[in-house]
Amino acid sequence: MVQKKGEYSDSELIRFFHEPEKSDYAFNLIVKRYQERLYWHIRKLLIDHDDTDDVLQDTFIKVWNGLKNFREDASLYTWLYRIATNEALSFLRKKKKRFLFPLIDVEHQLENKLEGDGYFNGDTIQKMLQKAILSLPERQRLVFNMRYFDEMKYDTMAEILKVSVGSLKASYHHAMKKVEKYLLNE
Amino acid sequence: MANKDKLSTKHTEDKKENPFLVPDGYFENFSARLQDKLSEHKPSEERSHDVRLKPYIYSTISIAAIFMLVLVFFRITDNNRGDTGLTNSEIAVVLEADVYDLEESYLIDNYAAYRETEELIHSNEADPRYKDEIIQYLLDEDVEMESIVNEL
Repeated sequence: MVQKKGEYSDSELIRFFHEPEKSDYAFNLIVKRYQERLYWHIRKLLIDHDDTDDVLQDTFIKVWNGLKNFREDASLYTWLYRIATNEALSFLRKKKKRFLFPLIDVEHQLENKLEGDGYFNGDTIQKMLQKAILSLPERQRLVFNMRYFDEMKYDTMAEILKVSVGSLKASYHHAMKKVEKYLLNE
Repeated sequence: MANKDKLSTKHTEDKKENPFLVPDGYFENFSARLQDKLSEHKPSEERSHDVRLKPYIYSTISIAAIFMLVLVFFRITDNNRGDTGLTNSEIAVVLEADVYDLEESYLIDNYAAYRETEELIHSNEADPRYKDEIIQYLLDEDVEMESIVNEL
């Protein structure tokens, strides 16, 4: 999907991975090809760099364990995104379970992280936009990030999230309206 | 992206650039750090037999411990039972309800004592001095004469 001229295709890398003497090399190339895209996908959901780093590593460990059974029913890119999304969402859910009192919600904690994060370089408007996105329900937040920032096609999103294009369009529309309302009220 | 997909608030236009940062050299070093983590992960797969066995051992020990606790609990409860075969709490309930549901074996064992008491009472009843004593007692207690005559 993000193959450059002279580079191996995803299918070739998967084939190499199945050859024991080449599997480490092939896996390393897959990591290098997708690490940044997956990192930013996770980071937009988790906000914090350290949390994102942990989840990205867990994602690639799952990829390493699952790649031997990967039969290319979906593209490698879609499959990786799906694993990264599931890992990020389950990380958020685990975090939510740790808080017994609903007053201390995870989204509020992420908002606070945004304020004091040394790795956030955005201006006031970007900070406001991020806060508006954090006010969305989990699923809408995910869809909004994938569509608005990554400009991902609905078909690809549908394949990754295993939901219909129609429901994704509706989710994105609702998310946009909520973000606009939030920004206008600020 | 179609226009309808864009936010209509004008101050967010051109704000799609990434506002987040990563530490210097993060992506350059990520692969090496991941390899380290994977190498930690791999030996654990080789001894996966032990690891898989452990949960079963732990759950078996837990079940055994619970079973032992239940046994100990019932033993302690049994120690609270007296000669009647009832626990202290059961006796309290019986006394409170004023119900004496005595076991047959208990009645048979104590029949001799019962007979002696009955005989003593009847022998006293036959004695006119005993009757006078009762009459005197009832008069002292301000019981009406008519009631005393009816009772005797």
